[in-house]
Amino acid sequence: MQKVIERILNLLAFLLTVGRPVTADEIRHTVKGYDQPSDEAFRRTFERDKDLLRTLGVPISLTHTDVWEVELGYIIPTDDYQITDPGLTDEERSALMIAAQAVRFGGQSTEAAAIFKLGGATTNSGAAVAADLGHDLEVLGELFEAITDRRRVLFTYKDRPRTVEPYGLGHRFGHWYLLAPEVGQADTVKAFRLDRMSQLKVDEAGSMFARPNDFDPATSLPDMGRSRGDDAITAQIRFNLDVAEIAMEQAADVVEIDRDSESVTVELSVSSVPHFNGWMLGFDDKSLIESPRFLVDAYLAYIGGGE
Amino acid sequence: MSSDRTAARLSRILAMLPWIIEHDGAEIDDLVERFDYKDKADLVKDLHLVFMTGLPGYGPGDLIDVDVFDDEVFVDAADYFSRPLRLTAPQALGLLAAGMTFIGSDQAPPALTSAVEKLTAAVLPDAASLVYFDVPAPESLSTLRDAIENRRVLQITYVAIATNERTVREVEGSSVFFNLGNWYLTGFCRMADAERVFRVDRIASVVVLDSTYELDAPKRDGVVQYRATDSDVHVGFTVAPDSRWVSEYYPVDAVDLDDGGQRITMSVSDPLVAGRLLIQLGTAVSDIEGEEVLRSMNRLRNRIRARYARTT
Repeated sequence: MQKVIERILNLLAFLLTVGRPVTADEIRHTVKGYDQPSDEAFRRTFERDKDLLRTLGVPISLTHTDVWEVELGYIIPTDDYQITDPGLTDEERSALMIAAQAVRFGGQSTEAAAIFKLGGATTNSGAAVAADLGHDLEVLGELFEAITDRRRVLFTYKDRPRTVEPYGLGHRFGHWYLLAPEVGQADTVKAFRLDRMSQLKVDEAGSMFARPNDFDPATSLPDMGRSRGDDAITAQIRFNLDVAEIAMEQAADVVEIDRDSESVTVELSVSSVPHFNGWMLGFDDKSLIESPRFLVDAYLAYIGGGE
Repeated sequence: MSSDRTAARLSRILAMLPWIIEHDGAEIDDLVERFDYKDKADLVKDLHLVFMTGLPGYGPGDLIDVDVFDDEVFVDAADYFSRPLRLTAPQALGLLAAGMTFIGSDQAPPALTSAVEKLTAAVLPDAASLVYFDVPAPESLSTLRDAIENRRVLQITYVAIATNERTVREVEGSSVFFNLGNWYLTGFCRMADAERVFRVDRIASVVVLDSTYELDAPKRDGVVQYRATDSDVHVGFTVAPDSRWVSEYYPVDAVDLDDGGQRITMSVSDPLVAGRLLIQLGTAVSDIEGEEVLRSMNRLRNRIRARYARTT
């Protein structure tokens, strides 16, 4: 491993200082560590090293070496290589590291290398609060890059191939969503659940799209009936005391209207009947819809077994 | 030799060099801690390696100059490595998401809030308009977190998810974590005499007791894992294509069917949990196999119907 790292550091030092695109051939004859005996061995080594640099985030690209465009050479633009210093204090770096270790993505946490790039952290105590935001961070990163680079994304969703212009990402109710209109339907921003996408591909070659300035990821996420919509229904529900506090904590726009030794009657807001039904079912026979009548009928139909 | 390990080692060297260049005479101990080296020898090995590299010519004036005096490190002739490498997209998003999760749940210390602000401004100026995290912030979260940090026993009134049964328990908390859209409290439950996981939105009330307990460090495994046991009941059923989410949401075995649906086999400790799911799925579910679960589902239906029959 020692030799590999030495060679790659030499390559990086050369490309960061040479100030012009250099051909593979020049690298082979100039940079220490590329004296492989055969062309094939050199090519393999060089390809591997370039791949490794790219995984670290080194922006190594291929461009013409002169105005006649005869030869291609490699270049690392210094401005793209360097991080913009956010000027963090040690306390801020440590706070960020504790958060990064506590928040996982499908069991995996952000690489320590991310904090190293910001100057490392000097405390390593755990947080009492942790989270798993689900989903693979590599895929999220790929989509995030497509969003910032404004590249179209292709994938299969509900058995149909889609091409979308990714505007944003959102995380709600334990799921990640890509917020994007399909090509040709710029007015309709849809929310695609990441775990239901397959054959995901970023269109690197295609043209960049424009994102409207007023795009807001918060309003593009599905709300599954948890926030009050314009057409919300006011319902009167009686909860047994056992479950009353948790029900009132979870519901929208709750007002207590009556209470006795066994139950609490409240008014609350229902904006999605299917979601409301699922929620009521969780309370077993400890909740009772008192009004409106059509909500009772809808609930009993949902419960089934009445025929 | 694994290329992952090579990448990790190289990445750390490329982050450490700028730090040493900026902090002339950086202390060995500080570097070991900051960049998470095993020990001094581990760090010195990387410094020696850097000493062998530099620019073409590779003579004394071309190689990077690394000196260690009295446990202080100096690096010279490596100006091209004076700034750290930019963050990759997964790294930037990972840090941002981690910070925003804590901020969204009202659990962020001021240093984290300012760190995320600075990082966003420097690295991802329009991040806030591109990524949105909806993390609920239940009121009791801070109480639970503080109790765990101070190792104070919690007395919770808990309403069980499966049965809605209400119990008062003393819990020695070990972590609170967010998973699949919900907050959970984990800890040793004195009533059950075992480790338990409680969903925070099912905790009806919480009291922090004076008594304390021993806990080395808060746990970091933020995942709810259901472990099957011998006393589990089993159920099999077929779901229509648009209800395939079941196999993503619950720990089940699923086999894809030709029509796009799935045949699902599920193990649960309480048949009521599966019964409730089957009612939720309604007409999207067919061919249910599992006596106990079917019975439990029908009893649930009857209980609810009986409640409405009394009042209408």
